[in-house]
Amino acid sequence: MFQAQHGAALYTHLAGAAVVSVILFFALTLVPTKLRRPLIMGVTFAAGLFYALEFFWPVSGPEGDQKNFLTAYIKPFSDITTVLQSFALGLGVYSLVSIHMRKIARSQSGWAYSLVLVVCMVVMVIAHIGKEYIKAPWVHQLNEFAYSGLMKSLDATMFSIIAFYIVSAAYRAFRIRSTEATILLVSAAIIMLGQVAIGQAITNGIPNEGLTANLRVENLANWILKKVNSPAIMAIDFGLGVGGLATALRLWLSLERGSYFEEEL
Amino acid sequence: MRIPQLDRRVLYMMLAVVVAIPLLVNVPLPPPAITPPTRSFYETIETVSADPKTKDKLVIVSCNFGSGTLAENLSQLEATLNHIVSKKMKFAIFAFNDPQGRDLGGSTAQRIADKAGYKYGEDWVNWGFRPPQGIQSLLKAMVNDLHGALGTDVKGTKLSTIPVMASYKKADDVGLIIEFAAADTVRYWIQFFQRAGTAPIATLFCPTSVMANEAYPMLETGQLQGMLVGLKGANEFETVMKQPGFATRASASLSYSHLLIIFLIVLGNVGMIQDRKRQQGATK
Repeated sequence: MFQAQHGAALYTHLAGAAVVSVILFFALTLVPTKLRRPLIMGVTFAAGLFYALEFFWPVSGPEGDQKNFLTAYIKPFSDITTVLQSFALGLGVYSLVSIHMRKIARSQSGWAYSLVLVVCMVVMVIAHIGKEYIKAPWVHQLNEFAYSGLMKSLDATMFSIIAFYIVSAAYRAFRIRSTEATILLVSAAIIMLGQVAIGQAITNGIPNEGLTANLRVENLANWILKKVNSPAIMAIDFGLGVGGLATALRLWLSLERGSYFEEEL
Repeated sequence: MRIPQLDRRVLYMMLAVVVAIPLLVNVPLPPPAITPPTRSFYETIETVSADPKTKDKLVIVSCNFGSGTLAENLSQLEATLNHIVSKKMKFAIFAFNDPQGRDLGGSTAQRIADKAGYKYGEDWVNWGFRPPQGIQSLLKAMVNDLHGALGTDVKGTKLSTIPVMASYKKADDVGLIIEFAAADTVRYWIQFFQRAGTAPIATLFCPTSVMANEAYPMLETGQLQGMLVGLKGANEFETVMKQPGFATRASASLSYSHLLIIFLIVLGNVGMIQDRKRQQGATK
């Protein structure tokens, strides 16, 4: 639908888009208060209607390239979604920085942590975006240190700490206080043993064919996962799906209730 | 004999020792049993690479993980990529859930491709990272136009000018999707891409162990053709491939840490029963 622009044409289009955006922004601020809610409802409905229509409208054309009159607009819609999400990201960064800068300026409790957050954010932005555009070696070294050396290692460290909490919880909290807890404990033990080679070795002596194969720990674990766990997950997923559909419909039709939907805009 | 209350630091130390020693010293362990999800994972790659209809199609290697799950997802990725290059299949690295996936997937692919004599742009490509917020629309757009929807590769080169992408233009040109993830991101592929072309695309999933439970129903329904469950799945796959790697070495740590947890659960419960009996004796 839209063609990629290059050189002067690109900058002209960018400037044009910026001017249109500014005009649109001011035009929206001039919309009477009573009309704002219907306007938001209309835009929300139109955006949702596009994907619904594109999905349900009959397609035509050769096999493998079947389209309807809306299919060509999926790509521009995808781009619009990404641009809108980028605004949300910008808003998030602005909000985060302003909150923590205020905390630092007022020397509120925990201001040092806020300072670390802001410094880390600035350094990471300079290093990671800078490496794409600046050829100076220090930018690449900084990126290597901050992103590969620090962030990745800290990320892995944070995640690995969970193992220690699991061990502590296993010892202190996993108690057979009821029938349900006992069933849970036995199932967990079978699954855990069935997942690792040393656990599987316990029943290695049992032939893996015929009726006796069902007594092997890995087959027991697999049975629990497939025949007990799967239906439970499916039931949860079904509930989530129905709930998600109801929520999506409420949002699409602007029926949702809450602070953003009931306040006078 | 009364079971003493163990301090949490002692528990932490026990786990550290149990995990570290097998990584430092070779601890013998029996080979793992090959579970059905791993077996079907292996057989799917074999089938796709042998079928005349799919063997020349593109493999999408979706790397949606970060450093936090490196031990599980990277082991799975290495073992799988080794299999793919051994079958001379062309592949594309892609990430949309974690920006680290682009680098971790890209660097691993580069290392394995160099060893296998694969050339970037001719045998494989890195599509780079796309923001997760717009992934539904992007995947829908990719169905009919991979080049237009994705635009450029990780180096900023237009996909339409990259030789390997010349014959891969839409979903019908994709023969296999493999998702390596720390979350259930495979649902996006199933929902928007897997069955959007003329024929369903075989889809494999490599989740972390904790995420695998949610994916078992998708194996049952046939939406997934195979799955490597965490580090254990990678270990099984390395065993099938007869190419021991990190997962094989780390499986001893995994085994003994599981045993430790079971031992501690039993110990904790024995202590609880003793305390209960003692309290009952005191009240009598």
